Amino acid sequence: MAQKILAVHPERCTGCEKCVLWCSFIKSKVFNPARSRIHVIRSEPYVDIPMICIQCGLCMDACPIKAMNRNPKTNAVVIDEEKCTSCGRCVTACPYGVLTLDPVTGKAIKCDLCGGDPECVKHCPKKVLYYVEPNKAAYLRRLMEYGGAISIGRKEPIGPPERL
Amino acid sequence: MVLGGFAGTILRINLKNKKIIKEPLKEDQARKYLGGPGLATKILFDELKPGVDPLGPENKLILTAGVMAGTLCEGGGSWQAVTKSPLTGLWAAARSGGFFGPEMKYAGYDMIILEGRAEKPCYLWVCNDLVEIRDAGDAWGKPVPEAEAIIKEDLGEYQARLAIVGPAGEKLVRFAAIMNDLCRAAGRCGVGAVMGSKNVKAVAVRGTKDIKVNDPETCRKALIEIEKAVRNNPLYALYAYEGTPAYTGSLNAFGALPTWHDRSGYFDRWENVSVEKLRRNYLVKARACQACSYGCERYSEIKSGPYRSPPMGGPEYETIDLMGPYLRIDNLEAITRASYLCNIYGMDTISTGYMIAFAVECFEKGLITLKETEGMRLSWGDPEVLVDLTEKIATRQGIGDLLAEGVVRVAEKLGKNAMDLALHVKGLEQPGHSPRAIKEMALQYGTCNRGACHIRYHWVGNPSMFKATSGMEAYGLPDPSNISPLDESKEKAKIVVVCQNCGNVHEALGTCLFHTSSPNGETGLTIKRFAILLSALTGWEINDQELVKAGERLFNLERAFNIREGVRRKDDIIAKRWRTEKLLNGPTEGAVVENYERMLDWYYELRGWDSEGVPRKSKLLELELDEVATHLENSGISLKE
Repeated sequence: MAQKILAVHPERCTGCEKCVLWCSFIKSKVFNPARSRIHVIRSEPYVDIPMICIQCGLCMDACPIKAMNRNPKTNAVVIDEEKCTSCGRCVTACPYGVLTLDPVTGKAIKCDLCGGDPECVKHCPKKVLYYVEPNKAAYLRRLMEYGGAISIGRKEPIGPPERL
Repeated sequence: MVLGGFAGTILRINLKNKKIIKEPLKEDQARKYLGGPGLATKILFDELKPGVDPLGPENKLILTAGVMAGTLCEGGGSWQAVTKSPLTGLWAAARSGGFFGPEMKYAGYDMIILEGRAEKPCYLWVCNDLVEIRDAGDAWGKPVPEAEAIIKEDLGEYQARLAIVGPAGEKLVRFAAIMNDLCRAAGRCGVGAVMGSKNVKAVAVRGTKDIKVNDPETCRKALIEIEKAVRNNPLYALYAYEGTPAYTGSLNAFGALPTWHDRSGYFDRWENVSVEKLRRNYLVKARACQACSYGCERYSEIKSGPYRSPPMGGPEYETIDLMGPYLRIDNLEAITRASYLCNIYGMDTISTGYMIAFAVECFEKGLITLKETEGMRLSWGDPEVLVDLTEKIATRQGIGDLLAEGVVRVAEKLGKNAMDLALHVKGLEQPGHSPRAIKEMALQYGTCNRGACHIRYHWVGNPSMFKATSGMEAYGLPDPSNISPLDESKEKAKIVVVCQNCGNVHEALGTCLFHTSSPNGETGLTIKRFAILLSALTGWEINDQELVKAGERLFNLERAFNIREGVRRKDDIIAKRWRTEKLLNGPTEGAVVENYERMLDWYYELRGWDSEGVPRKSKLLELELDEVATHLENSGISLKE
């Protein structure tokens, strides 16, 4: 079975930042969007897009002390905080701006897929985020492009109005 | 022990001498008044002398977020502006959603107190420990979206969240709003005019600090339970898929949709302003405030035609009613355009819509003439009048300059019998819930501390109309299943007292009331769930009864503020039309509030107030408001035992 991936349907996002707050709460035991591993772009007139880490691994190659490794179980790139020297090269390397330095500890922080059970996915009220096998993700994407708002695991339509 | 939930600091900014003081939040005070908004009322009571001019430098404007703001509690995107209102001259608090409140707490502040008046137009920049008073420059005079862009450019910080006033606030329109996130408004009571009077264009905040949690594991469990309950709430579908405009249809079917300057509770062309029409034709997106599962905010766009308006939040239910059926207008495009104008100029859509209706009726009765309107005929059902007057009020041009003063001042100026036509309580204009169709709403309008208000503190329209209890049975709410909305019984007084006490809890804790309304006690954010979450966040051992008690304490504190300003029984009496004229057509035809004074007597009795509406000394002592009682007595107000 193929490894699951984290994917998004930004069309449905209402920008509530629940994913952001759950991430900071689970990982750091506090509420602080600046310490989250997922970020939501809110832009006008009405753009809300969750920015997620796609585990591409560019940060891993950029790390001068090899403090990052791929978790074989989840395929996520994980930082060894003990080793991290806060040099910030991984932040420079990240093309999506989802890898940041923690404003409190100074260490690099990034999505580790919560060990295979992402909290952001569990709490997203509009099913914007989902954690499925790649081909299932592709199928859902085709449906989204074709039919607008569809629901995953729910009977009623979720999120954007019928026109979208 | 960590005191979680709170940011822990109060920021006090004196605009005159540019002094910036950071005071630690006192834990005992925070607990007694349930944090931010409640504590702000206490600060206002302590620091404002009675009789100060709301638009003068002595008035203070407090921007504050409750303990739940910025946490994952549903509806935690709330913040409030607490001040003395230029519309009513009394205590006022206006709530808004969005992201400003949480950001203020991430910057490390539970409240920002603005004192004095700046010499030149300025804006404030609060970024963690950095606090600056900066020149407003080009932003002054600009509509909200433009001004926000200018300020963000000036700061070079695009992640900043702004609470900002538009031209209406600068021009001291007495019902101007403070806007945040472009279309979220702390709308009622004219808090925007207070900010404008201080020469402050905006407060920009950005923060990267923690909101700590005392007991993360209990907190996590409580949050999951709340999330589940909210998503199982039968109202979830309503707010998530339709938003507040859905109430247009349901209230109309009930005969409680104020129409034609509240002569009727039923609008025959309601389908033209229904949620279906809005959704099919103009809706572009649903958006949410921070940490909200619903996402009830509706973005609408009118792409072409005379009422073209770019995508912007709204219109909400209240806007649709006050700018639609209330004026007998069934043109949703014009309503959306007027709502857009209110957003960019920063005005309360309820009061704006009301003032236009009042002007039309005065024109009809000959109290306003063609000379004053500069040749414009004001008539019912004319969308041109709506859009034109909205713009004129915001910029104070022509007749707009008069209407911007609010209904009481306009009626006084017009003289004759204009005051009989004014539908307000304590100077605050009527919102979109008919007090004659739902009698507890009449009592709520009369007794709410900020005037005719449908939303502070709980959805009082709910219990007898929707047969909903929202879990308030435990605190004395009578079973609504056998109570008709049209009853004027003692039960109605009881409903209002309980709803006001319970509602004050979520207002003070800093969440949105949409999560607390629910047809039964099992779903939604109940007071019990608040108590569990609050205990986990702060480490206090607090239970639901204590919370409700604190809610009652706050209500009496607000009342004490108003008592000091001279409010008595006479100010709790609702408008003449509601007491004497019958509703014209629809399901509630013929309804009128007959026994208002008797309901008020029952209400005072249940509240522990004397027949003039002054809290008894024993009541204040029971609520641990000893110093408030002493203060009132020292100011020459005699309290009955």
